[in-house]
Amino acid sequence: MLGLLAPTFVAVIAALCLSGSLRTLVTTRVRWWPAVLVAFAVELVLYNPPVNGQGWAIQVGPWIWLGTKLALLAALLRNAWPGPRWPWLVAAVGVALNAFVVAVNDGHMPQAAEAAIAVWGASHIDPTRLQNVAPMRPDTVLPWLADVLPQPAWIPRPNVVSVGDLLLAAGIAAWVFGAMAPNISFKSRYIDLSAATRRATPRDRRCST
Amino acid sequence: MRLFENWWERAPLYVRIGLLVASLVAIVVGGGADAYWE
Repeated sequence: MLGLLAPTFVAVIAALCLSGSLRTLVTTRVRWWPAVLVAFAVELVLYNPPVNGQGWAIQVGPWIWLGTKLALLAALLRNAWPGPRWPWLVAAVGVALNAFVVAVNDGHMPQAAEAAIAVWGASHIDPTRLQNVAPMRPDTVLPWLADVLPQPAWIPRPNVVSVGDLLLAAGIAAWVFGAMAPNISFKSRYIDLSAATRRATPRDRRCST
Repeated sequence: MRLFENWWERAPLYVRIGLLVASLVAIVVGGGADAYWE
């Protein structure tokens, strides 16, 4: 779980090293932020005691969880327009993939047993309480989009993640980087300086003495 | 929703920082589908 936030931390540090500013980041707002916070709060309540041990939660909880995914997806798409589009779209594709896999696997994200053993030494899935993951079975739909990627042990609290998780983490990290260092673009397949920065460089004849 | 969004811009700096961090954590952790709370 925490490993998915690591790319965002790296993006913040990289942007600061490249003359980015935290001030430009905090002046940028996340659109539909109340929907984002409510969806996350619902997940927190649903997957923690005492609710995660209730019979009704085990029965309908997975579909409530899917609903929160769709709310987050809507918020990500809302942020993709208008504005810097591609980071939000990458994140939205990640959430959409996760939501789709959950929807076609009875409301749970399938988790590969081998990957779980690689991370924790054993599978932690407890059928007596509501959990968002379920063991991968031979009839699992779209297993390659499920939780099959073990995070390395050096990451704090490593987990087993999906392709959708990686896209989501990369998209948000790219947005944070772009919000902090808006003068650096990735055009032409390399880090390019903006026109304003180029004009200020000594190689430009307008700056020469 | 617009009412809340406009409030973000009028909120003090420390509140905006809190809202931004909370929103990003909520998007990444809430949108992710790895095993929660492991």
